[in-house]
Amino acid sequence: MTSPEGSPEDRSQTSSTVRILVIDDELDLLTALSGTLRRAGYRVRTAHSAERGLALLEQEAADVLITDVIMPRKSGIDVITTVRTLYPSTRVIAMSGGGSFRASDYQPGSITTSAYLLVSERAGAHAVLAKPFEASEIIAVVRQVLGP
Amino acid sequence: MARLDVGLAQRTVVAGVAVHLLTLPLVTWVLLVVVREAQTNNFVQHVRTFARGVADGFEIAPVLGDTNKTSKLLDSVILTGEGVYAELADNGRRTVSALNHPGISYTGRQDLEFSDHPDSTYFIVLPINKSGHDAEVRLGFDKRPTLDDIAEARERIVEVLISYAVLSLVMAVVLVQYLTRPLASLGESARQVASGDHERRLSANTTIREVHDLAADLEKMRAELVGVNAKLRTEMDERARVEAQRQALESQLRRRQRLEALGTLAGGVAHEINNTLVPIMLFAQTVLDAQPPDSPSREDLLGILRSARRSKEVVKKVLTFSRQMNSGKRERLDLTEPVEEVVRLFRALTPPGILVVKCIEGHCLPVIADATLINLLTMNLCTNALQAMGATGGTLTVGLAPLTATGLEPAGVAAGNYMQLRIQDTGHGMDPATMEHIFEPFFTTRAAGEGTGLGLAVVHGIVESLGAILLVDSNPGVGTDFRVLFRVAEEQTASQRAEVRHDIS
Repeated sequence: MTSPEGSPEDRSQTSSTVRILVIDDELDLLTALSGTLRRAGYRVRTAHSAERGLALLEQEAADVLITDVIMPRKSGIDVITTVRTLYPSTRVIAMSGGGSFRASDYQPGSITTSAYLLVSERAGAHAVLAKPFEASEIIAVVRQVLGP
Repeated sequence: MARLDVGLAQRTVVAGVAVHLLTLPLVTWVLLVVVREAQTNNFVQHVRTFARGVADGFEIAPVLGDTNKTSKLLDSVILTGEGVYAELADNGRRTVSALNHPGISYTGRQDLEFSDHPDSTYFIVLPINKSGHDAEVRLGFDKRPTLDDIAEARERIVEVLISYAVLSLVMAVVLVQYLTRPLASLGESARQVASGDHERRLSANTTIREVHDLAADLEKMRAELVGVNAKLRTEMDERARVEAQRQALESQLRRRQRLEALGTLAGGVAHEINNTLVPIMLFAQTVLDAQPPDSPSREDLLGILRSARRSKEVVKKVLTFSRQMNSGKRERLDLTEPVEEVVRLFRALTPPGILVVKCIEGHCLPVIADATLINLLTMNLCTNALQAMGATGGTLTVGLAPLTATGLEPAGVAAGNYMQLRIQDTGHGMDPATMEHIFEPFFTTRAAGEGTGLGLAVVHGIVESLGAILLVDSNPGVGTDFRVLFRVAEEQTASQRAEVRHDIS
């Protein structure tokens, strides 16, 4: 078993050639998800904001980007749009647990998980995943977007 | 205060009797005086004339001084039946008729008026002018026949006047009856109108113009009042309908606002929980994977995963209520298939005491919906109905029928064509206070563990997301009736209109 990361942005020490970048503003989620992916053999980097994630991509490209949709300041939708434009070879997975950014943003038709995921798909995500999910589910989706 | 129990007939009789009591004695007295005067004057005139003739006989004929002739002349006075007493005084010598009625004698008086003396004889003394004689004839006449005539006339007068009084009273009563019968009939009709028979005509079958005119005026007034009454009733009904519609709309608005607020809250809470569930599940899985197969901690870790999955399901339901369904697919859908599928399922699932009735009527028109949502919606409503009937059993009716709203339906139902999905149960029903809250998440009347309180909240979310209308009617102890109205797909109505136009052309 891999020891927990000191920082969410540490590079993975696995020998896998598949590089994954995970962006989510929830630190516990970021830690748990990166741990799960590393144990599955992937090289994982993490970022707790959209801006930080895009900065990491500039430093080194990723094969798979897993991003949350609802984040403060810059949303996952913006990230997906940017990545699909700048890094067309990166496979993108969007994940969302629904809810709104702020109460004032509440729109009856747009607060739900599936609504966000639908928007993500339209923005170019290759796969979407509703939170919460289990380890097997996320790994299956990663394998699916990477293809055979 | 005037006594109202005395009718016109009684009043007329009393008034007539009073008038007659006052006037009849006076009239009687006057008539009697007149008759008496006439009778006595006639008597006096007659006897005076008769007596003058007797006196003339003594003056003209050579009777005086001859006793025999004098007696004969005096006797003739009695014999003619005119007098009852006859006497001649001549130079101090008195000659009396032998035929004088017994018990009558001359007392030296002379009557001037009929009633000068109270006895029954009227005396007249007349001097006889003949030379050589100082004579006077003294005659007595019986007053009794005249008194008898007066008495008889008095009796006749009283009889006639009494007959007149009785006849006039009888005529008054008959006349009053004639007058009051149409009034009584009119009054009876008026009472019928007052007691609610507003269509009853007010009329009096009479030839008395005043009563006829009164009836005509009253009938005109009735007709006008009935019209005004009907108009007022219509206005009141309309106001009541508008008020009921306004209250229903207000109630709907309040419910919607409350559910919107709850939806916002539920969405926010769901987001937080979903995010925290991910590390719980992933960390638990990580630790679980690291345990040796015989580790006693494995069961505990599996328990964490089970609880997290259960939380995930609850949040999913909350999000369903929060219009998760908005992003579901929408297509033209015949509701029959998904509804029948649920009915088949429930027939297989329900306990023996509950009868499941399917009632699909008319031609099912397509609506814009999602089969999965319709399935879920129907299942939740049926589950709710089954739980409402519980162990006591009953009938669950699942109905599907086209419905054309004309604008008179409950508030929120616009005129147009709908497909109506109806789920009725004969369960315990709900009171209005409970009905206010049934669509709120986690609201349940069932005991803890028997229901999540999300079933009807999910129904509400689906109905809202499909733009359908949800109507509930429930009576405690009788059952509950849920109706979901789906607008018929526009294309369908448009094509139907085209068909109609084609038929006309």
